[in-house]
Amino acid sequence: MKLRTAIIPAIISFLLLCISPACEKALEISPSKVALNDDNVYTTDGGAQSVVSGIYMDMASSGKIYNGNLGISLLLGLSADELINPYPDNVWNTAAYTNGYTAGIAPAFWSGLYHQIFVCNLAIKGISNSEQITAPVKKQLLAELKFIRAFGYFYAVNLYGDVPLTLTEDYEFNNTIARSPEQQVYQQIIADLSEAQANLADDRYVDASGATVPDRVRPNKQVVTALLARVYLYMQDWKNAEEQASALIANPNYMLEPDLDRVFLRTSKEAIWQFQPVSDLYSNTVDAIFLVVNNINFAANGVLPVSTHLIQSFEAGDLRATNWIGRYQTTITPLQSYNYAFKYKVAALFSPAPATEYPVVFRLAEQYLIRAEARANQNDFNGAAQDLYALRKRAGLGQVSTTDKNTLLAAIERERRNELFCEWGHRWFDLKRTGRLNAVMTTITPGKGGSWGSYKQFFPVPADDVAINPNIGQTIGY
Amino acid sequence: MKISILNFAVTLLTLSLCASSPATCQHITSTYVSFGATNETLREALKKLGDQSGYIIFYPSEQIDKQSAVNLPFKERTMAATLTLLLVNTELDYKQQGDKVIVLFTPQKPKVTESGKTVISGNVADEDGTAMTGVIIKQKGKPGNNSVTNQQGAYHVEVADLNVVLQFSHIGFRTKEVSAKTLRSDSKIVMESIAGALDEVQVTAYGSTTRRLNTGDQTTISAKEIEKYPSGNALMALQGTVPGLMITQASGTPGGTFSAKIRGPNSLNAHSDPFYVVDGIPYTGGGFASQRGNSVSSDATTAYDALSLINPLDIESINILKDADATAIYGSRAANGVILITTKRGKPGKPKMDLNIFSGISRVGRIPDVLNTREYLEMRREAKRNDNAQILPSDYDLNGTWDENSYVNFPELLLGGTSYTTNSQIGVSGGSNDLQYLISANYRNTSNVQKIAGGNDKTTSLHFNINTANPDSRFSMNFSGGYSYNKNTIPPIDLMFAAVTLAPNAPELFTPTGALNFENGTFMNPLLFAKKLANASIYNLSSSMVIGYKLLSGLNFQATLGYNKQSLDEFFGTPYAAIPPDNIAIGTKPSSQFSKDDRMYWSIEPLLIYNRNIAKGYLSATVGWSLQRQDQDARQLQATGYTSDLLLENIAAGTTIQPATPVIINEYKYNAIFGRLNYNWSNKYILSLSGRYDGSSKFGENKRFHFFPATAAAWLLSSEDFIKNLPFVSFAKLRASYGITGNDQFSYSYMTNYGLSFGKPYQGIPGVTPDNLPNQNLSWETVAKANLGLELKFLKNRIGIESNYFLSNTSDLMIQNFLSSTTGFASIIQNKDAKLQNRGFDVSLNSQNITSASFNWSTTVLFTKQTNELKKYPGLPATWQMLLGQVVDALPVYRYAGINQQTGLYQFYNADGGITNSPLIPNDLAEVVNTNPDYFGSLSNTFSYKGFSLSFMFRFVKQKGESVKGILSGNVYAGMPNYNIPRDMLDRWQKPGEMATYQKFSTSVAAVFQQSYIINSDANYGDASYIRLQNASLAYQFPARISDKLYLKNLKIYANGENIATITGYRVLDPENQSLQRIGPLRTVVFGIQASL
Repeated sequence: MKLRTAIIPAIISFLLLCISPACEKALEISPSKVALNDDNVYTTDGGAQSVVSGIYMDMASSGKIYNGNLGISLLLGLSADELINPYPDNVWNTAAYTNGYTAGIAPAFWSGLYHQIFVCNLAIKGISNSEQITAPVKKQLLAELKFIRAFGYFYAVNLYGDVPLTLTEDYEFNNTIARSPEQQVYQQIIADLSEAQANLADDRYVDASGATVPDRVRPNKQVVTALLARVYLYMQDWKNAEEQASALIANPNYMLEPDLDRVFLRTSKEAIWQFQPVSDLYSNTVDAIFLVVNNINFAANGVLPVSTHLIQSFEAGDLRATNWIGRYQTTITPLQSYNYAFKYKVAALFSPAPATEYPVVFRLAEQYLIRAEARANQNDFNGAAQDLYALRKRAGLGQVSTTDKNTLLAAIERERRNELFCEWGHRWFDLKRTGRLNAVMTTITPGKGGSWGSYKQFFPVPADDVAINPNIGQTIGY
Repeated sequence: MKISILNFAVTLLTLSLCASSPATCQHITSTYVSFGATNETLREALKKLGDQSGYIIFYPSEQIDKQSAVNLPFKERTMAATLTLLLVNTELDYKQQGDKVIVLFTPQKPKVTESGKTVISGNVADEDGTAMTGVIIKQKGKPGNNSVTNQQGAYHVEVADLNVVLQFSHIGFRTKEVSAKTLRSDSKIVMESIAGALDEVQVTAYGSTTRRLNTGDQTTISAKEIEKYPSGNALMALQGTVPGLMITQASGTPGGTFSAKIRGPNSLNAHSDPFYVVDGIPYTGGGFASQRGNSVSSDATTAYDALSLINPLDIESINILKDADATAIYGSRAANGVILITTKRGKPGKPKMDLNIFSGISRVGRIPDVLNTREYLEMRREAKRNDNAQILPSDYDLNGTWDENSYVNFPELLLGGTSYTTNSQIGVSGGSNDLQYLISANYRNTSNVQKIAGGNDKTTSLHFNINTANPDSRFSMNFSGGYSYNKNTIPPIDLMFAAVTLAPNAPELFTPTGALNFENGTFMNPLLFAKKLANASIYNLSSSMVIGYKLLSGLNFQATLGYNKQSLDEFFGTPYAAIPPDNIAIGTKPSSQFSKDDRMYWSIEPLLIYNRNIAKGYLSATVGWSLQRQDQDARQLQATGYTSDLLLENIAAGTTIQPATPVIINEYKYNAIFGRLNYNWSNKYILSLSGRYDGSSKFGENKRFHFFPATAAAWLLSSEDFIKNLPFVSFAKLRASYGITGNDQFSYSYMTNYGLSFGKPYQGIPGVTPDNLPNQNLSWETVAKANLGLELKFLKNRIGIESNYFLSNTSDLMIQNFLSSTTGFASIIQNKDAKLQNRGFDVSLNSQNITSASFNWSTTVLFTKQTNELKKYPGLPATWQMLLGQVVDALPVYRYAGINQQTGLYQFYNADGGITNSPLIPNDLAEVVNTNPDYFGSLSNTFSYKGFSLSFMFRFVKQKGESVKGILSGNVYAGMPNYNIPRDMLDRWQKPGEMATYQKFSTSVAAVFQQSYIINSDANYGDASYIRLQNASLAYQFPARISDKLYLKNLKIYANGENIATITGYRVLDPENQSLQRIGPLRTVVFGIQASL
C-alpha cells in the first residue's frame, strides 16, 4: 500500500511535468549530428579549413568551370579562334564553337560561378561570426575567401557584362537580385583583393594552417597581386597595372623558366598559382586529357585539336610552335593529321605516379605581358618592348619594333596569343577588352559554321534563371 | 522511482517463476484438456474427463445421477474450466486436492446482509471457460442496482427480493436472464458468444479493441491466414488480403524487396512507405544500403527486405491501420498508414511443444520463349539484308566463328531451375494464470532458383515471450524478443536479361575444366558475376517490454520499452574466375566489396490509462509520452589489388582500400505527448478523440513540434430498436473519422549540410561542400484524412459487408522550389501550397455460404478502387503544367505514330501533330499516361469438410503498366550481334507497305536509337492487368483418435501454394514486376506437417 501511495503521485507529477508548458524542455530535441552542418562546421579551425579546402577542390576538379572539356580554357578556346571541334553532335562543344549559344543552350559558367561565390559568402559569414576559430586561421581563411570571390566575379563580369553582385548567403535576397553595373562589380573585386593582399602570407606559400610549404597551390599575397595586375589592366588603369605586375617581376621567387618544357611543371618557378590535381582519374592536369591528341584518347575522350589560325599566327622560328604544339597523324584511313596544344604533356588516366604537372592559373609570363601593355599605353615603348623581349627571347625570337603605339599594341596582342593560347580564355578576353572581338569573329565565325553578332561578346544567362528571377534580365541580344 | 518499479518487477518475476514449478503446483487451472461431450450422462462425462486428464475424480453418485445429460462442445480448455462448464447450474462444486478432484454437493443457503438483502455472488465465464470481466448485471425492473464482474469474472449482487430476475449482459454475448432464486451463491454463469469474429481482439495503437467497437478503418490478418503462405516475408500474406493495400514484388529472388502502399502515395518527395510497428516498437522496413544492386542492373533497394527478418510463423496478427482515427495516435509518421505486427504469446496451459515443418519447391513463374538457332540466324541475316550490310569479322554468330548448328535453350538453362525451400519451426509454450511463456525457433533455407549461379538464403530465428501478472492483476509484464540471422550466399546476378538475349548458338558457357568460357575473347560470358563470391549476413535483434501497473481502480500505468537493431554485413568478392582473361592479361586483380548498414532503434513510451463508467457510458482515456531515437550508420568499402583469391574476405589483404558511396550517418530523434478519449454510450454511440503533439529532429527549432488531432465516431445501428427488430440484420455500424497526420520521412534540410568533396584532399585537408540551402521553416507535410465506413452483417452474421470511402488531402507538400542560380543552388526544399489528393473506396464481402456440422464453405471478396490527383503545384514550369489534375505518377509521353511503312522504323507525332523520327523532350510530350491501378482486389473461398480444409485466393489487378513492346524495344536490339529476341518480336516490319508491332530487324545504330524513343512514348505503356491464383492451401487435420494414439495433441498435414497460375493478356514477361532485368515472382508449392506434443 505504501509503495502505491508513493508511486502514484510520482508518476502523475512526472507526466504532468512533461505536459506542462513550462517543461517544453523535456520535449527538446538536440540538434542533429548528421555530419557537418551550419551548427558545427565553424566551431573549429579544422571545420573552417575543410570548407575552404572544399572550394579549392571544386575549383580544381574536372567537369566544373575551370578545368577540362567544360572549363573556361577549352570552351573559350573553341568560341575564339584557338580550337576546332571535331564533334558536331556534341551540343556544348558545337554551341561554343559556332558561337551559337542561346538562352536554352547557355554555358554552365553562370551557375558554377555563383555557386562558388555563394560558398564564399556562406563561409565568410560563418568564419567571421565564429568565436572558436583561432585568430591567425580566421585572418588567413577570410583573406583567401575574399580572393576567391573576386576571382569568381572577375570571370563573371567578363563573361556576362553587368552581373548581380551577391555578397550574402541569403537566398531570398539573392533570388530577386538585379544586375549591377560592371563598374560596381570591379570596385567590389578591387576591394576584396586589396583586403586579401593585406592579410595573406607574403613571399611564401603556406598550407591551411599557415605553415610554409613548397607547392604553390594556395593563394598568397603574390597570387592576389597577379590577379590585381590583370584586373587593373582590364580596367585600363595602366599605372596600377604596371605597379602590381612590376612587384611580381621584381620578386626573386619568380622567374621565367628558360626551358619551355618546364613552364607547366609542378616545380615551375614561373608559376604564381597552380591548382593541386584532385582527381584520381586525371592524375595530372585535366586539360591535357582534352588537349593532347594521341592514339589512345583521340575521339574517345573528346580531344580538341588547335586551329590553323593559331598555327599560322606563330612567327617562323618560334620555339613555342614546336615545343607547345604537337602533331598527330591518324593510322586509319582517311589519314588525317592534327595539331594540338602540348603545353601540358602528361595525359595519363589513373596514373599511380605522383603528378609532375599542375594546372597553372597565374604565371609570370602574363605579368610581363600586362606590364608591356600598361607601359605601351603610358607611351613607355622601350619598357614595353623589353618586357615582350623577355618572352620572345625564350621563344627564340628577336626584339619587336617600338616605333608607334598601335604596332606595339598589335605585337602585344599577338604575343599574348602565342604565349597564352589555350589558357584561361585569354585570347577571347583580350579581343573583347581591346574592342577587336567583332572584327575578328566576323571573319572567323562563318568558317566555323556559325554567324556572328556583336551581342555575342557576352554570354546568355540560362533561360530558367531569367524566368525565375526576371530582375536579372537576359543578356542583351539573346 | 524507476528503480523501485524495476526491483518490484524482478521480485515478482522470481516469485512467479518458482511458483509455477510443476512439482509444487500443477493446478487444474493450468492443466489443459481437449474435451467434449454429446448428450452424455454427467457420470460418463466425468469418468472420461478423469481418464483423459489423469486426475482422479471423486463424486457423490446419487447427486450425479440426478443431473440431466450434459453437452459440451469439443475444445481445449483448462481442467477447471471444463469442470465449471460440466457442473454449471447444478448444486455441485469441485475442489482440487493434489492429483485428485473432488466433486461436492453444496446446497447453499443464501447469505443475507444486515439490511436484509440477499447476497448472490459467483463467476461469469465464456464458453471457453475464460473469466469474463466487465459483464454488466442488472436487476430487471430495478434500475440503478447494476453491478459489474471484476477482473477474475466474479460478481457480487445484493437483491432485496429473491424473485428478481438478473440480466447478465456483455457485448458480443447473448444476454442471459436468471432468477435470483435459482442462482444460489457461488453459482456460475456461462455466457454464450453470438458474434464470433466481431469480438476478436484487434490490436490498435497503444491498446486494443474489438471489431465491433472499433471506430477506425483497419484490417486484421491472423496467424491462421499467414500460415497459408510459404513465403519468408509476411508481406506476402497481405498481398490481396487487405483492401486498400497494394503490395508488389520487385523480384523473385529470395529475400527480395516488396513495396507496400496503403491507399496511394501521400507525398511527392517524402517517402510513401507505411509505418511499421512490431510489438509496439517502430521497425524500419525496406531495403538496406548494399552493393548487391550495383551489379544486377537494379537499384540496391531491391536486394533485401528488413521484414523478411521477422519469421511469419512467429506472428500472431498483422493489423493494417488506414484512416486518421487508427493512425493519428501515431501522429507524424502515420500519414502513409501503419502496419502493426504482433508476435505470438504464451497462453496458460501445460507445457506443449509445437512442430511445423514444410518443404517445397519454387520455379520462375514465367520464362520467355525465344528464337531457336535457325530462327535466330534468319533474323540476323534479315537484319543484314535490311541494312545492305556485310558480314563483319565481329559477327561471330554469322561468320562461322561460332557453330551455326549448335543450339542451347538459354531461358530454360538459366531460369528453368528449381529452388528448394525447407522451413522447420519448433516452439514450446505454456504457463499458469500468473506466468505464460513461449519460445520458438525457426530455420529456413531457400536455394537460388538460378541454379547455375547457386547460393542460398538461410534464416535462423529465435522468438520468445514471457507474460506475467501478479494474482490480483495489479502488476503485469509482457516481454517479447527475438533474434534472427540471415545468411545469403546468392551471387549478385539476375540472369533474366541474359536468358532472353543470349544468341542460341553462343559458345559453351563452361570449358571442359569447369571454368567460364570466353571463346578466345569472342564471347562475353554472362555468368561472370555468377562467379562472384557472396556472403551477406543480416541480423535483427528485437525486444519489447510492456509493464503495466494498476494505480487505482480504473487507473493504470503502462510503459512500453523497446530496442531493435538490424545490421547488414555484406561481402562480394571478385576472384580471378570472375575476371575475363583479357583483363587479367592487362593486370586486373581480384577485388572485394564490403558493405555495412546498421540501424538502431529505441523507444520509451509511458502511458496512463483511465477507464470509468460515466452515466450510461464507458469512458476510456489515455495519456502518454513517446521518446524515440533512430540511428543509421552505413558505409561501403572497396578493396582492390588482391594477389590471390584466398584472402578476398580479408580487407587488409587488398592493396588499395577506397570508400564507395553512399556513406550514410543518420540520427533521428522523436518526442511526442499524446492523448486519446473514447466514450462508449451503451454500446450504441462511440466517440473517440485523439491528439498528439509531435517533435521531430528533422525540422528547424521553431518548426519541430506540430499538433495532430483526430476524431472518430461510430454508431452501432444494430443496437437501436428499429434495427434490432429486423430479423435479418444481425449487426450494423456506421462510422466516420477525420484527422490530420504528418509525414517527416525525408532527409534533414533545415540547415546547410556539408558533404565530403569528391577527390583527393587539398593539401592533405579533406574538403567539404554545402549540399543544400537551409530552410529553417521546413515543416511537416500534413495529410488530412476523412473516412466513412459502413459495416453490416446479415442472417446471424453469415453475410458481412464492409465498405469504406476515403478522401485524403496532403497540403504543405515539400517540393523543390526552383531558384535562380544566383542563390548558389537551383532549388530549395520548401513546404509549398501544393495539394495532393487520394480518394477511393473499398468493399469487402464475406459470406458463410454453408455452415453445417461437417461441411463449411465461405467466400470473401475484396475490391478496391482508388486514385490520386495532383491538385495544385505552384511554380510548376509551363512545360509540365499538363501534370496538374493527373495522378501523381502520371508520365508525359510522345504519341507513337506507328511504323514508317517505307523505312520500317518507329515514328512519333510531334507537338503539332506532324510525324517525326526524333521527338524532343519536353516539347513533343503531348500525352499523359497513368499507371495507377484502376482497381484491384481478390476472391477467396474456403471449404472445410471434417478434417479437410481447402482455400484458394484469386487476386486481380486492373492496371496500365509498361508494355511488353516498350520493354523489349527499349532493351533488346533485334538484329544486333548476340541479341536473341523473344518470339513476340517476330511480328516485325519486313517490307515496304507492311504494318507490324515491332520495327524492322537492323544492325544499325540508327535503328537502335529509333527503338529507344519508344521508352518515352505512349507505346511504352499498355494493359498489364492480371488475375492470379495467388494462394491455395489444402490441409487435413487428423481426428483426435488417430493423433491421440501417436501421443500427439494435434496432427495436421498440408500443402500450400503461391502464385500458382496467372490469367493475363500480358505477354512474355510477368505483369507484376514488368521487367526484363529481374525474374518475376516465383511459383511455389510446399508440403508440410504440423503437430503438437
